[in-house]
Amino acid sequence: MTLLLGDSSAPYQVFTEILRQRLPASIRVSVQELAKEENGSAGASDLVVAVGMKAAESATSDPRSPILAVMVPKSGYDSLFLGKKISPGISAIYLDQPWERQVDFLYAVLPEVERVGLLYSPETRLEVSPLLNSVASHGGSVVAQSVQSAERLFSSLERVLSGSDVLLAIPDSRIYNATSIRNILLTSYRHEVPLIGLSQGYVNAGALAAIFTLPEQIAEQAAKQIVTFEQRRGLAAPSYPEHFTISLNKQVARSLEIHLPSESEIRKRMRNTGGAER
Amino acid sequence: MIVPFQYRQFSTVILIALLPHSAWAIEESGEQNYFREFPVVLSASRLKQPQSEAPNAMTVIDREMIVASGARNVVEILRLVPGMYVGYDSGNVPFASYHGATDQYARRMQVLIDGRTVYLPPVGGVDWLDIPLHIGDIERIEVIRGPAAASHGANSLQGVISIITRDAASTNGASVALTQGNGGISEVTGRFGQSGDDLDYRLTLANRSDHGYDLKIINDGSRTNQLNLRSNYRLNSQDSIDFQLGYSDGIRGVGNTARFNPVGGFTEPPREIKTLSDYLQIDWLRALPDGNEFKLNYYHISRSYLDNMPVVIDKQGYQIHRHELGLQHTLSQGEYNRLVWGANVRRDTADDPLTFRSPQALNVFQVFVHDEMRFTSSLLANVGAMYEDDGMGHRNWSPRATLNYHVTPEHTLRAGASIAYRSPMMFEQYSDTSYLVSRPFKNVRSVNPEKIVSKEIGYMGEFKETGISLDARIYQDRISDYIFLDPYVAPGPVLTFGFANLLAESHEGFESTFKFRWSERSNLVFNYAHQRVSCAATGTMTLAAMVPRLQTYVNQCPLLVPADSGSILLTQQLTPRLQFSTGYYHQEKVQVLDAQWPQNLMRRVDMRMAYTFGHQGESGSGEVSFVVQNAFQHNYTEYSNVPQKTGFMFNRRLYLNATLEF
Repeated sequence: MTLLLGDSSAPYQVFTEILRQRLPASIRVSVQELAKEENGSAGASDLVVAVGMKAAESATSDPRSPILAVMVPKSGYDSLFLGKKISPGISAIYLDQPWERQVDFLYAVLPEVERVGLLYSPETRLEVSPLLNSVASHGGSVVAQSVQSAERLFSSLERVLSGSDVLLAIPDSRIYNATSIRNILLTSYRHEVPLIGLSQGYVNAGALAAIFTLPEQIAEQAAKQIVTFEQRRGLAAPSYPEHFTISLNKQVARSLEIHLPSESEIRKRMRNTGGAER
Repeated sequence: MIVPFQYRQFSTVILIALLPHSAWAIEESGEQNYFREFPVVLSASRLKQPQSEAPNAMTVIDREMIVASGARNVVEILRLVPGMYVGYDSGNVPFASYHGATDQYARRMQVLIDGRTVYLPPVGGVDWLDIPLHIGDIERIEVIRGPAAASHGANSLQGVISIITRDAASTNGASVALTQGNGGISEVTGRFGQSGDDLDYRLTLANRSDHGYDLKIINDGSRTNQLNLRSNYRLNSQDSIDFQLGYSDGIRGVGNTARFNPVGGFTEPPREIKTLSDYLQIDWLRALPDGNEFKLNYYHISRSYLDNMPVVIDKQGYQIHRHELGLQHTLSQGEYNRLVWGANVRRDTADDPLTFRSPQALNVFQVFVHDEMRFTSSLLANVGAMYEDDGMGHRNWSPRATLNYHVTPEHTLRAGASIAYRSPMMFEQYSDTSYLVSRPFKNVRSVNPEKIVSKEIGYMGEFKETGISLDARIYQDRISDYIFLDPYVAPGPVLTFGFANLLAESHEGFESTFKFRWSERSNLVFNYAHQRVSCAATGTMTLAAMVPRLQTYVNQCPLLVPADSGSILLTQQLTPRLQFSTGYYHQEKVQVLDAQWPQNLMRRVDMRMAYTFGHQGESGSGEVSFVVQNAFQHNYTEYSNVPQKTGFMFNRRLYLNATLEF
């Protein structure tokens, strides 16, 4: 099989390392990096594991082998491949969490939330109906506020925060980036509205909590699928990651006087509402 | 208030582009949203300690309350602190003092603005009107009730007023505000701010004036211009530099047309003095993702005033400077321990020829350590101490220990004990006004620091279902070596005033804050304090003939604090755009130690009505508000320390404010 990396930064390296460890020695892995332009040698592979959106795009531009796209957000994958016929077959292990799981997590951390605040930009591409349904099933509602431009983030933030109990981050770098995170966290803290982030980075910065899947967790799941592929010569349907990591910022919780449940309690609550890993 | 639309009604599939891409930066590959590194924004020093885990009783007054109070100056807001006395020596000399005051130079509290100590030598009071601080720039005020020298250092004898101003990133855009009212109340404020990739800043310019009290014999109007700049620059994801500067200059009315001195036959003519205050503060903060934090800061503050009235020498005036360099290191050792240690060096100078023979300077050194230990999820201990060399030859340790026990996560008991010191002020130790014919000061005795031993038991409870929270405590404070006037006969012979450690004070009482938020639109805060104080003469006076006079003070000591005092602040959002708030302030008979007469029962009602328009934070939005202070009563008597001020009344004040955002 061929491992096609979209990047050489840490997450991709970690993925590669763990995948190599988990695969049986019988499976030969040849690693290619997009940036290094080693075109032409990918042809002979049984399976191409494309890591990241750029790799997935590149692999599907001239598909000669079945493709397993990993570490791709579902929305990105859908926008590229949904409804398209890729002849040797394509599947994916998404990087993001299904909305149900994300919302179950939110309610396991903050059971008393009534209004879930959401900021979106004109470029946000997300399937929101599962989010709305999940929040509604917990008895809450979503308060969404559009951010028309970076300059107007400030007033949009004030508006969404004045009507929300929690702010839920979404994968949109127009809203959540290294520059804006400062403003978002300071303003939400002033309103005593906690932020639920998308990664450890968010929690380090000051988000109350985050649920995410690490590259090593994706690698383990990918290894299993590769082994299954070798045995059955077929790809499973695209799926969300099975395993996830929970990160909590206890200092922020304490300061906001939020009594955080333990991680095991959060996982237990999530199992009870059905959103946990199997 | 703007109510964001509920997204439920739009439960469609995908949110679609509405604007051209140009308004936004370029998107990178989708998974980067999950791998991005962020700077540490909410680091240890930015996070406020929850009240249920604080080592002291604490009153937090946030922006909402400040606005709702309708107050025009910071001191007025402090009426919302249980046990706090707010008084005026004249319309332009407000002061605040916790658990009783000796005079208008309330000097037994530490007062900090963004960590900068603002009480000033030589007398230790705070020139509230002069401080380059705009009430609209305040994020919150934390008032520690009880000694906190272990964490806040010198002067934190009875408590700490810590004012935290808004972050540099808090203002985006520009606004102008105008206030007009009776009694000459007039104010213009302009604000501008921007937050960018690496740099945020906000700038406030203001001009305010009023005529002071209505009593005509006192000249107590004021005019002040001020400027405040705060900026924050991020060097990288860990390091940032916060830079602040402020400036204020003012004209103050002084003089009392009725003030007649029988010895000198001297009347204080009404006139104007010029004041100037400024500061500069630089904080370098390194915040690490593991919760550790390193902070290095430097500030300089200065104040000067100039009075052109010739007395003995050509001009009266002084120049005060303070430089301080501080270091603070926060070490988070997992969830269970947090250690904060640091050191400060400070230099205070006062060039005040009318008070001191020569310019005075004090070099103060402090080192402190504070450890917060969490034994279990419900038991927390705070232990700390500060060692201080006050530059006058006194070296003291101020320790503190507190246990907080969460009976349930919502109900907490706190028990604590602490010892703190107040070093003598420059004036108390080094004053020399022996050139004066009447009431000259020249201290000849060595004055020791005042000492407090404080014990308290507190309870904090939250009843979430009902929207009620309660914070209550009982305390016992014993102050010894209380510094007081010690008259003696100097060659002349002239009765001259020095200082000595002459009294002991014992304070006991109950303080509580009850909060009730029964809906999103309604909020009530009720503060109540019951206080008892007694004094005893413990030192030896120089003149035996003065002992009865000291005894007179000892006898009137129980009136130093009002037996009962309290405040109520009610805020009601009437419609999404219309907000009403009202404050009620109650203070029973009280006598500041040097006042000629007790102040009788004060009952005062303030009201505010505000209408907002436009989209909050966007161009074209704003607010119009109307405030009436002392609404239902013509007046009440204020503090007065001279016979001529017997009719020193606070009359009703009305003012209108309009704010427009650009």
